[in-house]
Amino acid sequence: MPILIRREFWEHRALWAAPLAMAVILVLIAIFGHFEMATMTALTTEQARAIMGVTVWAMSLVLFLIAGIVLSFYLLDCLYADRRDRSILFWKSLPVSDAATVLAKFAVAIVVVPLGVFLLALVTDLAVRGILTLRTGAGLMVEHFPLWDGWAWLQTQALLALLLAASLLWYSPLAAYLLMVSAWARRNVMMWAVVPPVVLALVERLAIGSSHVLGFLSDRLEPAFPAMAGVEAQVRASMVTLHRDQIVSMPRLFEQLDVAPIFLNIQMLLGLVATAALLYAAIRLRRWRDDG
Amino acid sequence: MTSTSDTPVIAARGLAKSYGKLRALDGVDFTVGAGRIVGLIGPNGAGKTTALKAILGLAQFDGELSVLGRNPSTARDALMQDVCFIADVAVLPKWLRVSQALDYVAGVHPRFDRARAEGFLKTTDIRMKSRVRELSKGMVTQLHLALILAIDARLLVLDEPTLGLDLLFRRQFYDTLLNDYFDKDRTILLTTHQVEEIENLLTDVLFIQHGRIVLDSAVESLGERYRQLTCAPGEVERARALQPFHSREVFGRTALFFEGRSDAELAPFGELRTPSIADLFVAKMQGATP
Repeated sequence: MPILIRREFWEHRALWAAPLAMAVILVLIAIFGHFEMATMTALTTEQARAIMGVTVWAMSLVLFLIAGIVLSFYLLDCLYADRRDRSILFWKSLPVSDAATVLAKFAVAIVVVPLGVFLLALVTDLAVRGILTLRTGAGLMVEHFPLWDGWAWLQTQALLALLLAASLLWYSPLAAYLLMVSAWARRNVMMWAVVPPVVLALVERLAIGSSHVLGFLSDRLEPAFPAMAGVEAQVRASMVTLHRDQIVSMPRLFEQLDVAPIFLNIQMLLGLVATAALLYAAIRLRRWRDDG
Repeated sequence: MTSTSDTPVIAARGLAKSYGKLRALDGVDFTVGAGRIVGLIGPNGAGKTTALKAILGLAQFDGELSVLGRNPSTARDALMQDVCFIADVAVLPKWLRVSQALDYVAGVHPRFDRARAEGFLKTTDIRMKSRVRELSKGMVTQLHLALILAIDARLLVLDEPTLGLDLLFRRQFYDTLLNDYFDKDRTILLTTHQVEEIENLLTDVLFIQHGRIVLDSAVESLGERYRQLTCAPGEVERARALQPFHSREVFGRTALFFEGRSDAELAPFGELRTPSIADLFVAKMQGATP
């Protein structure tokens, strides 16, 4: 791994420690937990595949939630921390461009950690399934509980990877914004990250009476973004309609998914333009911000 | 300033920087030649750090500035391959382990000789697994010095590198710098408050006050321009007629500081010598005193 990336994991140990700790907890729950399952003797194929999908997602989402929280704090702190303890003077005494510095931190948040957590979730999922299989043999759970279905499992993971990629692109302006605040604020980064958007939204509301800023913010902050709304709704439906006939499992969803519109839509592209602009601002600030 | 080589390591013309209404640097000109050890000396707020920041490409400036033939504001990344910098002892991040510091510098600096840094660290009490926060201030400086000594750079910039260190570490710092680092191809530019300690180290001095250079000279030629006259009893008034720029009382005798007076003019009034850099600094900064 490039040294600029490794350095981030030395300084911000929560980046790997927090998801890893959560994975260990999931495995421990699988080993020691008590599970009360309603007897499901007559699952349709689609129901079995739906359960497969839901169990994969449940475990992965817990890990991604932890990673998301840790990454938000990381992005807000990483450039600011160097300025706070003046170690920026050490980092800047070495031949590393400010663009490389900022982009390495962005890559940690948008590529390295998400990929790592995806792989961690994969391994955890297999470990938990293995443990539960052994315990089922020892009489823990109903035997019909669908723990193994290779094809459905792969399709669910593929859907997860696809939506993860889309989410990362969708949230990238937020990541770049946090980096910019981290490069800019003299103190109290948290306040500077939160207050300007809120004030902007309030001013717009009071002055013009509209709420475009608020709309924009809630679009970017909600887990269900417009391009994915269709997918999201179907996922939710599949989670609550296990016992209905019209069930859409995640493997089925993956088979039916129209991939292109998720990535190629005007909001996604505008977001990426904003990401580029905010990253450029963060690099300029890192280059010239003079903290005296 | 005299230089051993034709192309200066640093050349500044009309270098200026303002913070609001404050002129931190007021259009200064100076050059630093290769193989020199230059002391940039001035009171707090005189513009020392501002000048260093401009040279290192850390802050924007007006005027012309060339460092190793490059413009520090547009070519900083390339420049830092040839320039090393120690701000002061407090800038190594607390969480960094000694081994990680070596890994990192080895990873980003093409001219870093890891074996050399490790060799130097072996002569200290610093252990590879320690974090910076576990080291004493003196040890942090040793670590930083170990990193810098192992980089084959042409210009080393030191901004108050020994601030807050005890005498032993300060002495050791400069001894190591002279013995293990400095040679005719390298140039050192440093600022410090402790002028006395580096007097014998410097080849050149730049005095800076209120953003202006007030003295720029090779140390060896200071004696030709500046004389310190310790007046014989009863000669003080006549010596004052030759317009010293500073006077001070030492053990009941009057010492007068002259610029541009020949020994022949001054010798009749007392003992002559070349002022120490510290005395000259005080004289220049305080200027005329009654």
